Amino acid sequence: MVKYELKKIFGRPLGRLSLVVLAAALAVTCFFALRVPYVNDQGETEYGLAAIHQLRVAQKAWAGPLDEAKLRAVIEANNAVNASPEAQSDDVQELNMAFSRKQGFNPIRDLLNSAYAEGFRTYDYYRADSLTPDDATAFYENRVTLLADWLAAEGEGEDQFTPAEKAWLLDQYRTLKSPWQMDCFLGWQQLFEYAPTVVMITALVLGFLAAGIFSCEGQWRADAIFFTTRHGRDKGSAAKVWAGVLVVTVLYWLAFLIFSGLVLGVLGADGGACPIQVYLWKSPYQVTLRQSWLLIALGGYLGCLFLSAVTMLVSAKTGSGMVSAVIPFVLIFLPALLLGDMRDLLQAVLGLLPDRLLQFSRQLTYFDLYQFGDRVIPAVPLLLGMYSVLTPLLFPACHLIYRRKQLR
Amino acid sequence: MELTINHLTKTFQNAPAVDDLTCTLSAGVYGLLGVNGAGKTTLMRMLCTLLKPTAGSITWDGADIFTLGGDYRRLLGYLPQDFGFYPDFTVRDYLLYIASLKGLRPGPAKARAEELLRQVGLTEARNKKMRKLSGGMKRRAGIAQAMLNDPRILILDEPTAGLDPRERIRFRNLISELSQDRLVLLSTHIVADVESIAGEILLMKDGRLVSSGPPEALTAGIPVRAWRCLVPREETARYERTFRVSNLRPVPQGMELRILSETPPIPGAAEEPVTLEDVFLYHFGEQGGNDHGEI
Repeated sequence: MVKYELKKIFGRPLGRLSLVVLAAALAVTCFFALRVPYVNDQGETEYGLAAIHQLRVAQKAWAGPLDEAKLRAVIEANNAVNASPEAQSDDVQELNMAFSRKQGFNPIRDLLNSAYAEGFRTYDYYRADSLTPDDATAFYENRVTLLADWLAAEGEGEDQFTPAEKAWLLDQYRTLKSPWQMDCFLGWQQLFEYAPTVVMITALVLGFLAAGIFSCEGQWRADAIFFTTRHGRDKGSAAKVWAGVLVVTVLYWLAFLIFSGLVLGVLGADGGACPIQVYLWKSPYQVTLRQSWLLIALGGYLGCLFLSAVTMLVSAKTGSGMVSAVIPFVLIFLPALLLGDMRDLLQAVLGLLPDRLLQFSRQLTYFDLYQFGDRVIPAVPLLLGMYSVLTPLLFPACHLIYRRKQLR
Repeated sequence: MELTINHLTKTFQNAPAVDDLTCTLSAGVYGLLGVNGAGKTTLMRMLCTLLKPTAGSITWDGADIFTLGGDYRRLLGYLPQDFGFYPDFTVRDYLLYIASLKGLRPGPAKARAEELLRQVGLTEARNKKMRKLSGGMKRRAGIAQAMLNDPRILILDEPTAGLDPRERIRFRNLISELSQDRLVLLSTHIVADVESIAGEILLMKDGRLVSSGPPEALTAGIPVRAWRCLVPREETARYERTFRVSNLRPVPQGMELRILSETPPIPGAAEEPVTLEDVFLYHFGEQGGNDHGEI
């Protein structure tokens, strides 16, 4: 029966069109994710496989533990480039030639900008240029100090968190193992940058496909026969649910793995063992880039599954494909609109809405914390736990609602 | 093998669509006749467990059909008035899908589908998409799906609606062939569709059964007789106002009318045998004349 349900979904022109849209969106996203610029020693920007190779070679040269010696070396190298005639020039081409020599250690230079910033929430692109090699000693310590100062500052972090939450954040910062491992993490960086786009587009397409699973019977007026068969109200209805789960699972993982495979395949999967902080400096999570990828993938899957389940539930209840197809749009985009106007009032609730699951690569840097008694739980594991419980309940609910449907 | 309908009522927003209806059906072909809105489809939907009654019950061999659930539907074949299908399925895929819903295993389902395709004359069209079939072919696919599980109860709601005369006759013959040893309930407002094949007629009006029995008993049971008489053309309207006129035919001498009346409407009127159409006209005269011209 599941086979025939799949036929119903993809036999429709709109079903096939959805796949084309998903494939096209995936192709466009991959194109932009793989379009990484490299500035050659002539100051010209290059794109393509050769450019990626050059950039990787330059960044691989700085791989290894990000200890004091390496930080010192980066500051020295950065200062040396800054002292060169090209960097002093007013000519853009000359400046680009200088930048060309910074590309290898640029990710570390970015970390320096954050570590030596004036405040936790400030970022000065040129901060690294004013450092001396002796400053390197304070790199890891500064990260904790900046957070502690911000959490203690009135009108800043002081009002936003409970004492337990502050303690949790500081503990996460203090106990993060150092020195960090550094590598060329270009592939992960681009993957995390574009993952929310891929996941959201996939969620919308899957929602659209899921919207028709129950409502198509009514639209085609085939429900009268469906419900008068021996298994229409049990196995037939259950097959619809399974078809929905199957479509979401297969298409989501296909899209996400193709995207991940292409990006990591072309840009490199090196640096998987680096902590997420090499990419997201402020992240309170103690996970590696590889583990972050897994979290992003799981969050996206759970999000797609949840949104599709809600869509199917509405479709089973109302019989309207149009109404149910709108559900994923509303659940993804409405929280973003509400957040603008009602930040304080609803932030705690909005932080747990399913749209967050679709953008875990951003969620990993947020300080969304929830306190239950003395226990502080950050949003990522809470979202994963909560939706792992909720989602499996929705699918049987679709079945229970649909099997009881009466036809006038 | 007995389907018992006991004081069955279905109300939509306080308006009864089926009103305290009681009858018992066993093996044989039943023609359910009534004008549009008489409650035929609502009754059939309840018999198919698509709708739950507001009051009363339907039992199959003593057990409530809604309690029996799948066990009752296992015995059921249904062709709805508004036959819907999956437009992108081939005829064969459609039948195999319905067969799986009906609990047939793949092997027997394939054999049964092929047999029915041959029986309804769709073997050549088996690989055609459902949406590409003509109206008559769709109906035949519809009857084929209803027959897949070799049902003990076959419910056909207006199966000939929208078909051309040739397809209607073909369809009628097909139903006749398939009606052996089962309970067939055939709803229609086209008298000719049931006249020749139904062993018993149920006349439904405003949600109630107004009369039931074999066609001969119904024709003998109305307190009027049928008369053929010749009248001047200009007086046709007056006769139509005064009598139930079941047919008008212009002839060179004037207008030949078929009139239902207890006594001869005019001197010299010739008596004719009462038909089922006359019975229909007798019971549904005003509504029938207004609602449709297919009597």
